[in-house]
Amino acid sequence: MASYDVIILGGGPGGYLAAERLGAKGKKVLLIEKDRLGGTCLNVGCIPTKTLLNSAKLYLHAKEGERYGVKAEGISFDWTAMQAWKGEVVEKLHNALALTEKKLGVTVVAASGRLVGSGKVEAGGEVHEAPAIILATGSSPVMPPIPGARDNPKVVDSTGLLEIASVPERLCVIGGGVIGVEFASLFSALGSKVEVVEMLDEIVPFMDKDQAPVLRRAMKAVSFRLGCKVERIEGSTVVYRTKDGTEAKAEVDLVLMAVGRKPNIELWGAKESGLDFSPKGVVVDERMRTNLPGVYAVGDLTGKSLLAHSAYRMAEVAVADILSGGASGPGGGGTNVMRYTAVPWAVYGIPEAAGVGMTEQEAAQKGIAVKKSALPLRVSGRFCAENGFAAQGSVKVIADEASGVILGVHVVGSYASEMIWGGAALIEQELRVADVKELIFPHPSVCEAIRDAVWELE
Amino acid sequence: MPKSLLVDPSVVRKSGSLEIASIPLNRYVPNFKTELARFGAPGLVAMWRDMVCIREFETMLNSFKTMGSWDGIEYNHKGPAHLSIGQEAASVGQCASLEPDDYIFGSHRSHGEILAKCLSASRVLDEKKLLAIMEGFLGGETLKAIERLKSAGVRDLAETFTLFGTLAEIFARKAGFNRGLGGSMHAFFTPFGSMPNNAIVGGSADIATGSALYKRINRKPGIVVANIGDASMGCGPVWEAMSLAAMDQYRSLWPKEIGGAPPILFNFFNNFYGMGGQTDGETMGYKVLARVGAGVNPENMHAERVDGYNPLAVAEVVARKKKILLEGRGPVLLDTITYRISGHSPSDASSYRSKEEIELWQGADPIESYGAYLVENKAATRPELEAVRASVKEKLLAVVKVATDDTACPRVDSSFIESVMFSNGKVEKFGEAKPEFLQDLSENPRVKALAGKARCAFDAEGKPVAKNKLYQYRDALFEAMLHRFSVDPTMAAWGEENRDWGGAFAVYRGLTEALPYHRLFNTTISEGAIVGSGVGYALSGGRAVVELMYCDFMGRAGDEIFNQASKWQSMSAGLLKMPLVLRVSVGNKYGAQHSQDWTALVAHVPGLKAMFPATPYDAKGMLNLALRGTDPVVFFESQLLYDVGERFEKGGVPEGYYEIPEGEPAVRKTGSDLTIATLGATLYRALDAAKVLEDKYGVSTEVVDLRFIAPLKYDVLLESVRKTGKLVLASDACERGSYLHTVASNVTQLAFDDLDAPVAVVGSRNWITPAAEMEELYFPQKEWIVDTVHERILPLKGHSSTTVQTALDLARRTRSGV
Repeated sequence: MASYDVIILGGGPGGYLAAERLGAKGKKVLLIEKDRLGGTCLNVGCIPTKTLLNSAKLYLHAKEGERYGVKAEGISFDWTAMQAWKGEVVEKLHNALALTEKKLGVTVVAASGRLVGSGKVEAGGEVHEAPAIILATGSSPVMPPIPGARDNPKVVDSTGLLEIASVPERLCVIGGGVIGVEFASLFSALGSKVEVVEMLDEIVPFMDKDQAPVLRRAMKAVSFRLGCKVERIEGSTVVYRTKDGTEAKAEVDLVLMAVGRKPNIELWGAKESGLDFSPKGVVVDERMRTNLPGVYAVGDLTGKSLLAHSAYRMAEVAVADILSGGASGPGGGGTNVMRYTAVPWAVYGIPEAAGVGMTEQEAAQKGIAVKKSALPLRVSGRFCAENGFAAQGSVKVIADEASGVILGVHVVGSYASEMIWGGAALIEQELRVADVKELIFPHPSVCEAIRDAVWELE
Repeated sequence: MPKSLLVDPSVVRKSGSLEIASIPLNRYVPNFKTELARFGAPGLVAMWRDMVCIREFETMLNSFKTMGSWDGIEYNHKGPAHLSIGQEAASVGQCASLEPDDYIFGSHRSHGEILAKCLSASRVLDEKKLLAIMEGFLGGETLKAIERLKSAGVRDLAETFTLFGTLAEIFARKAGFNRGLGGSMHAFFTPFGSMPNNAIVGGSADIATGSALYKRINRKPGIVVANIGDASMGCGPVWEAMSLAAMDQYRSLWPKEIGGAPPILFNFFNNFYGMGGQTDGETMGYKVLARVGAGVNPENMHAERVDGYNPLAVAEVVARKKKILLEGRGPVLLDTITYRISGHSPSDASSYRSKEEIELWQGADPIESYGAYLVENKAATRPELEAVRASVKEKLLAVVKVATDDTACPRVDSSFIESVMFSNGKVEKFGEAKPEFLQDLSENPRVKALAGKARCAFDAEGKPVAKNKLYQYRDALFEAMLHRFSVDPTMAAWGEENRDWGGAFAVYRGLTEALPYHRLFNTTISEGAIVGSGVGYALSGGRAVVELMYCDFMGRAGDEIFNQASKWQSMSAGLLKMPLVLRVSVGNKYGAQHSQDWTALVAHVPGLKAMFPATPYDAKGMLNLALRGTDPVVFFESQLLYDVGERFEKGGVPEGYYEIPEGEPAVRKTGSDLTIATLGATLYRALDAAKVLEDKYGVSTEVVDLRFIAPLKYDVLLESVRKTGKLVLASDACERGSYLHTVASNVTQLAFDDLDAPVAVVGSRNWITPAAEMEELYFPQKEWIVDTVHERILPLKGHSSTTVQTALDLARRTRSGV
């Protein structure tokens, strides 16, 4: 029975970053991971998908280069080679992570951990004790009870789709959220005929309702069936009902089930330990504390904001609380608590989309009066030079009507994922329109369009 | 219980059969000659006049309630009016055989009884005394209101005074008999022997029994009558009252000179209905109510059925029964049959009885038949009776005009109501007689034993004194009881196993040798009647100390604690005092139904004082305080504390008399970083927690013992919070609804700017108390307090919680209701 300062259950983004931060401060950390360090993000999520998407973008750009004076012949892609590159990236990043943890003195145990209670975790037959425990067991894809979905070799989730041996001729994507849209973008760029079936009236439900159509229309090669509900899957045929009640079919070669993810709350002793949780996730406060003393929960497991960078931030909040003995939050006069008002998101498809803060619809729902401005990205010289004058792209900014405080920044178009951190900074710092007007953006850049949109507000 | 009464198996196991004597039904035979000799013609006519007064009075109220007007006067009476039209003969007949010294306690339907008692008393009392009573009552306010109305002398004035005082009370006027705070269902006028009426069905039964005990124990003249209805025979407390009244010990164990059983007459006004439920045939099984007497004692409680539709029949039987009671051979049960023509209340549409039945009884109208009897026997003429009726109507009209006039008859304001919730009096003794003892107190074995005990828990070197040499918490209670017993001759104590056993927790050990039976006795296992009789004893003018062996048994006496003891001082507008101390013991080790701390329930109901000492010094000083006061006190003790010695007061527990100032918490230990405030035995675990906090974490901790629930002064606590800025409250009561949440909320209101963290409340888990072997899962431990401080108030450097006291877990538990 060894004792540590902190035991972390789960080696995904939340878990491994917490371990790094604690290790850097000289704490004795035990990190328990039953599968691979890096979790979903590094192994079967963020990294592999963005790697493949980059390859697909290179292929597309090569095909479309003539407009810009670059002609290439014999353009082809090699899926196996793409997968090999993806595998190399994942492996090298995984090894770098393992090395980082080792250098910081973190003990990594490959085992299925189990929370016994406050201060005690069992792993590999041994009980380990620590005054603080961080739970970071992540989430898994949801397989809904649609008849014909389970145990159907033609139906895969995101993890399964990343391992396919060849690009499907016809692909049906059930679920028009971020994951579904990215895969649709990827495979349509590689020549698949892609049909996306989405239950709601628009793709990527949390996007601003003016921005989502811009993204959708820019994905010309993909067929979107909106407001359609899948009723059953027969082999590789997806049977769904359209909005007006008619039955329709998508006869394809492969079906991607991308209807969402759920927190992993089973198999590690959550119930028996007295932890407070529901199917939505483990209950936490703004300091990431659960109801059990000394036990924290971060990342997808909390059900709040299923994004790797949210997991990073939650991990840092928990670490601050542990290191300061509970004084990092308001109780100790600090501000280091988890906030959700400026969490950026990005869709890395073709084109990219990103956003942070409130949408116009959320503001209306909350009864907040806002002023808004939206501009096509064509206002940016660089955007036109690189994409042509007819390309789709849009920026939208929302600010509080009375105070001018920036509430939301939304972009569809190139480099959106790289510029959105700036939008998060504006919102987190509660800058007003007048303050943003005093900032300098580089020129020429696509992100200048944000500044232009702000100048439209006042 | 007393060794003198042997239970012999050869006797009780003998075969045989039980014979039950027959019970007389309606045996009255008219004898005008005797009746004339007894009452005189004016007396007989006066009874008729009383019945007419009641009839007109009730009819007037019925008219106001159903039509908003009467005899040209418009008035909206918002409150209740449970009328007794048709029942006049029963109340008037009863009072014809009673004196002002005889007390009657009534029900929600007692206007007739109040009027009958007052009117009959005002014919018996001497005129000078009568006038003095009226002039002195409420500083003359009631009299002043009707002074200007014409009257034919003091007795006629007294009739007007009675009608007005009762009506003004029903109309919630300041000049009413209880300043409007009693109203229709609680009105009374003690100078004439009309004692409180009760809105709770059967509520008067045990209170009247207590009043009868007061008369018996203090050798006061008169009997006590409980006028309750037939449907009240379904109520537990009524059975408990009869059982308590019929205890063998009054005749087998009590000193002969006390006079025997308490003089209580349970006179059931049997009108054959509860609210709508019909007792004979639907809701009860006795068929004839008088039968119940046979279930109580071999005399069948001298039970008789009497015709309550004939006042002379009732007068005759009451006179006979009164004699039996004064001879100490009670209790008595009467089944006085009567019938109400009016509904249960004016909104009653009589859907539960037939028109035919009502008409049958209307055909037997007692006023008509008694009037006819008088005329037949030439005690009065028809015109004379009509003149009486006319004069009653005229007087009533004048009285109603005054009573409905808002300017002539204002109502009390909020500050008055607030002022009568407690009497806050201090009375050394309620009588002048010499307190009775069986021995010189210096001879008492316990007094002698205590003389040699260490009155402090630690000796001169600071070493703990051995338990067998220690003056304990239970000894402190004993000394307080003994002091008041020796000062106040009216003080009496009763409960289960009080005598002989000396109380289940040895608080009363030694008192059996000192006190005669009538000052300390064992009762039936009747928690309701134990407390109810205490209420009756106290409001009759004596000091009562009643005991509930376990706090958990308060449920058995719920009505008596929450509706009776708590409310009579205020419902009487301060005319009644309630010098009643109810000792309850918070249990330990006996599981779920024997371990609860219900301070929260007592705190919630206005009109009760409550306190909970945690040390022997406080036990004596606070019981002394309670025993000199005039308010009802629920005195909590703890079975965890009976054997503790005094650890805080320098010099230990004084031998002489002293009181703890009411409502003042005590600082047990000073500190500057954190305040822990406790109620009850949790104090000692809090001190242990304070030691951990100080020694291990350097948190200087102040510990405050609240010791009072109501009244409670906040100054000491606020001063502590001003200094430390942090407060955790702890007691063994279940956390949810704990009284400490009230304290926490008030402190937050009063000291918000001084607080650095939310106020935390630590209580027992919201579960049943498990077995003694598992009690640390349930009751607050010192670790709970330390962990609560760490999780919710002040993170302790290097501390790891071992118990779950987080705010999120509190949220989880409240979600599940546990």
